Amino acid sequence: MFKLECESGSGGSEVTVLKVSGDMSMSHAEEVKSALLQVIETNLKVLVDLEKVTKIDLTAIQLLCAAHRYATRKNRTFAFALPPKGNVRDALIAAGYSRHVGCIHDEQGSCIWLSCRGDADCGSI
Amino acid sequence: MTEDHLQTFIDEATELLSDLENALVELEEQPEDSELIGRIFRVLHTIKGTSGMFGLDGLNVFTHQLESVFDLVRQGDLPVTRELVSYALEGKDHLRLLLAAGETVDSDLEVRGRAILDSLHRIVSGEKTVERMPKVENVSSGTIMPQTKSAAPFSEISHYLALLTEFEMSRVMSCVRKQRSFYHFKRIVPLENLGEDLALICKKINACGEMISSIPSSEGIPLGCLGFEFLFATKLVLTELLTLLGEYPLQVDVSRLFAEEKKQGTSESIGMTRQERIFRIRFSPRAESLKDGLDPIDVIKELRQLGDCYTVAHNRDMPDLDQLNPESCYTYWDIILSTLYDMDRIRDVFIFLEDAREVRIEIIDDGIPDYPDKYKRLGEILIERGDISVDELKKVLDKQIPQKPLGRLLVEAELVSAEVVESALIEQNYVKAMQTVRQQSDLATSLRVPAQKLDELVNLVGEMVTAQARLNQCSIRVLDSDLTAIAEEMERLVAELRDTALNIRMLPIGSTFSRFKRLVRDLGEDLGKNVQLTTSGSETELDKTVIEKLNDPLVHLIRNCIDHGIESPQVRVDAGKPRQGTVHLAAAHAGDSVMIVVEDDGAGLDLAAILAKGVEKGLLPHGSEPGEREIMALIFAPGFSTAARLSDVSGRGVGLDVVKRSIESLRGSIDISSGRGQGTKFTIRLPLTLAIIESLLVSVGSDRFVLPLAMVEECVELESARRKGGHGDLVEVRGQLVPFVDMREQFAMGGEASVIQQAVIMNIGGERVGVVVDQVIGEHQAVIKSLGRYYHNVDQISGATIMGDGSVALIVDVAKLVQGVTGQAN
Repeated sequence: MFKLECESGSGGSEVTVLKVSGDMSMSHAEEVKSALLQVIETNLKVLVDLEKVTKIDLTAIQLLCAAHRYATRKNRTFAFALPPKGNVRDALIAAGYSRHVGCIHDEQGSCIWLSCRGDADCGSI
Repeated sequence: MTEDHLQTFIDEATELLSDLENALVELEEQPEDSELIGRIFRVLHTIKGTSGMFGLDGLNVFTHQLESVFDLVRQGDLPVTRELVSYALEGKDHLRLLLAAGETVDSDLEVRGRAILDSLHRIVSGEKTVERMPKVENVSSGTIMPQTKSAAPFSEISHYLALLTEFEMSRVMSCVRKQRSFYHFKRIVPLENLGEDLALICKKINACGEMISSIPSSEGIPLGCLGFEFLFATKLVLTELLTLLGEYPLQVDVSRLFAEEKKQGTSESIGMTRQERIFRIRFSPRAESLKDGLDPIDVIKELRQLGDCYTVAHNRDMPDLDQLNPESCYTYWDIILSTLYDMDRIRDVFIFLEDAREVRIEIIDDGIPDYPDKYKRLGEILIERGDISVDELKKVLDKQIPQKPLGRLLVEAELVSAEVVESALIEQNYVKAMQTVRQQSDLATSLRVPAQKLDELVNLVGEMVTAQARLNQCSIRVLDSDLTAIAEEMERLVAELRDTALNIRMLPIGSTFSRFKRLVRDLGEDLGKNVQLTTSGSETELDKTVIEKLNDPLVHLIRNCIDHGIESPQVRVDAGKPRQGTVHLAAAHAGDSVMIVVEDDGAGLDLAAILAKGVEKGLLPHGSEPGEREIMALIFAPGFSTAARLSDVSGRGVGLDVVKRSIESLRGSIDISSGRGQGTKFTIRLPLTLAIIESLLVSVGSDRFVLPLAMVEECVELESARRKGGHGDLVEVRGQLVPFVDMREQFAMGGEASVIQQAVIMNIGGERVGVVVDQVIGEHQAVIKSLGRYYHNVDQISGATIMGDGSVALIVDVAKLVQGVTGQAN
């Protein structure tokens, strides 16, 4: 079941974690976009936890990418809470989002896709 | 490993040891001779490697030590002295003893070996310390397992390899490219706990690397148990595998897998080729595609089913989150796909995406071995992809900042983004890696045999064919059923032997094609033309001699294509053609012949200019109106050239007639077709083998002749059908008039023609001609013997063959025969 949860940091930590569970595909795209916008606007440091995501498609990947760029522009930090694994990581690799370098907008070298570099069946030479 | 393989190794190693001894003795006289030193090193290296494969660890270890000593000599760190050579010769004697001893090395032999090595080490110790091999220890009953990774015994599991599915094969190839090692592991599992035990074994193997395949096995399995065999790929060393699996797996040589693939021919799957090719794909879906229900990731996943895929996503123009429309697609992809499937199969993946913004599929590596460092440079790749223009690249290169890599310069100049450069580098690195692996696997599956030995073998087989024909005749005469049965079996065996012997001489033409890549590159640069070489059918096999003799004619033809055919880049662009011209080489079997095509997409032949030149040179009468084919055939005339200027490359008019003669000397033919503005195509047809010809045996009087069967269309009786008229004689064949040549007349043979003669209707260079003989005897496999140098200039006879009764039948060169007749008529 699709769920979005926002957990503010405890014990003085300024980090807010946005947890996504369930189907993160196009059917929930608007909800994900709104949640990302809101959490970035209101927090300086945001981590996204995709551990419980069961399904992800290009829509969600683009949203996450755009969220990182948006956060960077607003001088916020936006990253994955944990390096994606399982079917989320497989989808990222298949989508060509496992990178070795950040894109042209990544001036601070904080591209979220760098943590998804794949040594799996594709992506390494 | 079977006993036969071991015996073969022992025989070969014995020869190598003789070679080693000779080289060592010579080295004593010529201590500075690097060629000798290299030879010695190579012998030791070969024996070391092969003995390891057979589990002859004593031999392997000792040879390794000797090899290390000679490695120092090879590097110039150890001088060759009389003392060194003496101990090396003792070492060679010891190798012979170890070879004879096999797997079991007794203590006396060990002591002897140690003494020799100690002497060698004493010589070496003044200069360098030689690495000591670890002691070989017994691990389990009777099986010696050395502790170094490289010395693991290899496992003979061709039965298993033959069962791999296409997907498993593609996984094997992928792991070969990543330089993984392959291991075979067997386990017997009791039925009562099958599920759990099997799951545990699979988990352990997966922890080692990638499980390629598993199959049940039935040999030597006790009741109440099941056996399983596993094939996996790993980058771990043997000791690490031992820790994870609890026992040593056996290393597998998968190179024979590729040899099997090559032997078996094309895969049963539709759309697969025998060569793995690399494609560059740019996929840019429409912005609305996500809304229409397409997830491009599914398309890419489908591509991944076809082979190894390297995908880079680009979304440079994607807006920020607040502006982004989640239902829009802002991403496009560059994909490098390595696959056995052909272009059509890849296009099928995008069949429902015809309205995509861009789907571009290009082949960037066609499976031909090439030099890995000769693949395109980064700038060329980016231009081909359309990511930068020639002018932009030139501007950056003109700045001449040598310290920085080009990619970084382009990113700093904001001409491309870093991921675009990364994507191009992925392509470059991948193709180079594939070329390297291809070169190595080519070496691993081949065997060097002196060409002379092959020629002797084919000659002997030819003699056998003749002797077998005589046996056949004898059996017909004697009418003994046992003899007939033997003769029939001999016929079958000799036919197989003949085919196998001729096949040994067959090599794929791919290596010839690959040499031309460099030629095309260099020639293009010299002449200021942008040309690429594409090929197909590189796996087509031809007789080795034919390939060697074909090299020069092909070079001539390619040079002509580039010099005269392909226009300069600007002219091509003005004509609406792609800037880069293409020369295409293709080869394919067609019955008992091979067709080789050399074509270009250049300007085509200027027929008017050729006709004018032909008239000028007197090759055609003034005012004649020959057909297109006749005009084009003029370019093969000696000294013919319409080139206004001579270049180093061509235009001297000595190329194409030499080409034609070379091809005709191989009993082949060359044809030409062309379209003005479209290009020119040369089609060469060659027999598969030069040694034996399928022929039609005919007789004129008491003499017998042989005609090439491939050119024979039919035979008709010639008597009442004979008609005289025009130039030469004509015979009517199903309403068509066909000119004929009478062999008795042509060869000025005496005697009376029989009342009813036979006209053998033959197809000579597209024209039908009848060759008149007294009798058609039947089909015959003629082993070609040359006539010898005294008859070298006899034009219309190309050789002879020995019949079963020992008599000689002459092989007629029918094309020359016809030319001879038309020459007389003219």
